[in-house]
Amino acid sequence: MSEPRAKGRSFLAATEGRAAPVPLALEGGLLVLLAAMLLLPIALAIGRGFVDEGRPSLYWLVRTVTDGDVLRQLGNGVLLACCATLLSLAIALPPAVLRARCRFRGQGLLGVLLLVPMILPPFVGALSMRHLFSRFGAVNLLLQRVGILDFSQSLPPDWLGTGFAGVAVLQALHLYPILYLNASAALANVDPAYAQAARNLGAGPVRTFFRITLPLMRPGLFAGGTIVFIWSFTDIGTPLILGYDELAPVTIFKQLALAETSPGVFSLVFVLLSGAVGLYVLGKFFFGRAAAAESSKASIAAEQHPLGPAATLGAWLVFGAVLLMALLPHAGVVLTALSARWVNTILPTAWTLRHLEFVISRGETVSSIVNSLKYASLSTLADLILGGLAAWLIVRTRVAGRTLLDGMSMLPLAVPGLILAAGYVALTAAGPLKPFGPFGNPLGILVVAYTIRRIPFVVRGVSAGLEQVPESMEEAARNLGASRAGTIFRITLPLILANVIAAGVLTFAFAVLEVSDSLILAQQQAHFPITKEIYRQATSGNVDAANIASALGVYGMGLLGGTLGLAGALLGKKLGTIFRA
Amino acid sequence: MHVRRAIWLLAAATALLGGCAAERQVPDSPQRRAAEEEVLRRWGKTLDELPVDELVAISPNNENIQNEFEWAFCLHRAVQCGRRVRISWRDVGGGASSIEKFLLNVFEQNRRRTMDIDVLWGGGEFTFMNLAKAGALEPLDLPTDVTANVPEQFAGARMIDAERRWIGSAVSGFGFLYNRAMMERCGIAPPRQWEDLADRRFHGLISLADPSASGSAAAAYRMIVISAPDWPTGWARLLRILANAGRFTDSAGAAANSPVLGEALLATSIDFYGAMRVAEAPDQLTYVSPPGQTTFSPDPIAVLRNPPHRELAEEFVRFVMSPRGQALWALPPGSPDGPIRTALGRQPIRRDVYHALAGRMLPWLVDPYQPGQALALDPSLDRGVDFHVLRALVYDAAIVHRDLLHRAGRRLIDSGNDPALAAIFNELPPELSDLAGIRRAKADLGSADSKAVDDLHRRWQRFFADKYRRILEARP
Repeated sequence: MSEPRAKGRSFLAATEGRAAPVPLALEGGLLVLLAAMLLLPIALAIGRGFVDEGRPSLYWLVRTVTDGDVLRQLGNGVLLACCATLLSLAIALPPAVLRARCRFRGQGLLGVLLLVPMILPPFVGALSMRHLFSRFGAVNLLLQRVGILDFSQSLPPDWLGTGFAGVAVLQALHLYPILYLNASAALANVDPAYAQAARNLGAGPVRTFFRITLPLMRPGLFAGGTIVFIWSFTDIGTPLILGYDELAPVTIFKQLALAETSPGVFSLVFVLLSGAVGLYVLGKFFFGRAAAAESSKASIAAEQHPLGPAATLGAWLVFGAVLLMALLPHAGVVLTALSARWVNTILPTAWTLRHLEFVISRGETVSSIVNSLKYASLSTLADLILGGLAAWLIVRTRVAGRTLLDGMSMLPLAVPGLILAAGYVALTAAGPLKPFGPFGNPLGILVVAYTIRRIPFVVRGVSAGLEQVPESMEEAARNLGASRAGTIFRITLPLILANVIAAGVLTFAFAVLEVSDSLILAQQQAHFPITKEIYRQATSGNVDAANIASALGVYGMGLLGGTLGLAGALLGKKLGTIFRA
Repeated sequence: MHVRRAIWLLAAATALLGGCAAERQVPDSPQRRAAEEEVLRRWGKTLDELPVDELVAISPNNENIQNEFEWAFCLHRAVQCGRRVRISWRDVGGGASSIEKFLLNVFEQNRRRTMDIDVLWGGGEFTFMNLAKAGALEPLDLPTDVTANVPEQFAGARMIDAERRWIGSAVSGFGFLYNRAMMERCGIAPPRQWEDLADRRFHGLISLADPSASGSAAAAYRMIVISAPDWPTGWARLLRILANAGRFTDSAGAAANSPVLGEALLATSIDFYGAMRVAEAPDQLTYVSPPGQTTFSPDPIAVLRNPPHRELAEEFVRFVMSPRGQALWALPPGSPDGPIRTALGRQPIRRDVYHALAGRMLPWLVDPYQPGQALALDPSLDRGVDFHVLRALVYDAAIVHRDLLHRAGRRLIDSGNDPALAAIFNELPPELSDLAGIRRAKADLGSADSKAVDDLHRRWQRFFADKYRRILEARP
């Protein structure tokens, strides 16, 4: 054991500092690229917050951080993100554990169905949830019908209230698949020998789960939890549609849309960025410190308990309850797309296919779908190359500045797409880049914006895989004479392929669902992606705005559902297990 | 095996989508067939064989309006000039306020030379006034039949720029849309006048648009204020209505959708938004333009400075303002000279069109020029209540502190409208107690000194938050 370890160190030594010019050059290149794609636009977007009367100044920043309203909004944002993350965890963990530890009929189908919520932009779901849960919406009308409510005696309750709870629930219902995927991958990679040892020593299943399994899942849960937390912390679309404005990102969005923008809003952008990055670092310090030393690829296959008919029914009920909640917005979207008339009734009173026919007959819809596929494919490819490389440099090498690279590649999680998009607009406003701006052909900046926003998914996903693949396997290959590239392609990549595919599918799905960048950077119909087209329809003020947006949402769901189907065709039976590396 | 299957699937999907992709063409319709016959007779070619010119336009008007005018203009031009037209509609993801900001930014970046766009169409007249003031609009060469039929001013609003840099293409009135059937179910009496919206029975049941995002909402709030006998009474009335809001939306259209979706019983609405929704469910919804309490505002059109396609831009403006273009607003779909697919349901601005189309127009359209339709305004109040100041004040008093305002309004209702609490509730910032104060605030808000503007907003926001807290903390 000791000899390969020593030789392994020599392999790693080859990647250290001056002795490793290739990784160092790669790292340098990546850092320059990230700086140009990320820091430059951010600097352009927030620079105005640090200028007063033409001179550098902290005047606006001081004003912002001493503003009670701003602090309240930031507090609301943290609370919202905590609620959404905990809710996502509560939704995702039971089915993840059931799926990893038990074997029952329909397991594979349920596992795939749980990912379905990812196929709908949450703001479209929010549109239909308003129809269902508003004060005079379908749910209250149903309660009136069965005699629980009497509108003539007292006004029915408004389930969405101020919007806070609605936003948290919708975000959790949209984002729990991220935690489910991460929890599944983490569970699959936890060596069952530890749990078995605990059971042999007399611990019960619950105690074993909370004392052994859950701590070992920590890196995976942290990776997923971070994405959910910061996504919720900086989300704009869902709060906007549900009318909950007491959040800093919404204030920024609205302030930027005003004709006269105060420099204060740019310092608020800086405060939001600092808050998001600070919370990420804090989370990493408390929850995410690498458990890699203890965690390794499972040495034995995880034992799955076959469930009897009653227990299978129970498992179906757990999955079914989650699915019922999660698919409610989707059902609402389909109902709205098919309704010809839906006023003051529980369900539509007249049905039609005309909205679905109308949107697909428009060249605009078709071109928006083609555009989305184009932007998302190109950005996913770029993400896999850049993110995979960054993850390898961070996890597998000792080059100086890895922490900086890690921080830089995670930074996009904390940057609202709106801010980045504003930066790209500024970058291409004049000069040689103008033809690539929103008024020229924005393919380049859209792909770059999509790429940079999703790069953390790939870095996190691939890093988690690399951390759980013992280095000793690579060391053995090197000792047997394989080249570095050969080792990566023959040993490392196959072992982390599931992580790479999972990251790729996630990246693609979220690129197709991207809202903020698309709203700002696509300004000509010919270049609209589908989310921009849906948002445009949803906010058009037309009498059939909700129907048309929902009809587009149905096609959007089809598009992403097709993506998952394509992944299924690519992977065959492996689809159900891609997240179980 | 699986990979090959996936590649086939991908190729098939791409081919399908590529095959479906089509440009926005004039749909098959009686209008198209009539134009095709005429084109063949005059130019010896089919419609699709005619060359295409491009026009670049930006507009907050909805897609139905864009489509119908583009198709009608294309057919008109094909017949008249033997050339088609394709309009490239730019979209910056927002309403008139966002478009104004965008255009001013681009204009500055291009050293005040051009915005690379031909035509701006739709939004409130204040957007066009600001752009005209910035030198971003071209003077229009309008035919005499247009200027003879569009009044310079109507119901207190300017319908055409004094220097002819913009002209109204349609007029909009304001009113409220309510869910009549649901009100009956809840035992709530429907509203009749603007004052009714401030009543306790509607607390939390009104949907309003945020005036910082919606220019038409800001204009509606101004109308509520100037329909009162004086400024303090008008502001107090508006603030009571704002306190009754259960929801603020980002556009006037979204607010009008609230009573349909069941989010609210009532919403302020532009007339054609309201009428179109009532047409969908006339047994459930009602729209009211309070008689004698309604002002009308224009929906202008303008050619932007140094447009890339100047002649075509001017031609498009002339078409929109022609009797043929004006008829598109008012006629039902399918009728000769009417829209092809969708009723647009807006009121033409040309007076002569109401006579020419009498009996053929959509049933809910009324002639705003008839006596008794418009609000008789106190000219000093109309001139004195500035749009920008009121918009900023509503933002600071209601949008920023919506929760506090809502609770303070509730507290006032629960107190039985206690005079002491009502006096606190109606207080205005001291510097805005009269119309002269509004004039000074207008100058302050227009200052280039960002700090001073920010200070002003903060002062107002603090003022309103303090008074709402005083109401909430007052002993019963």
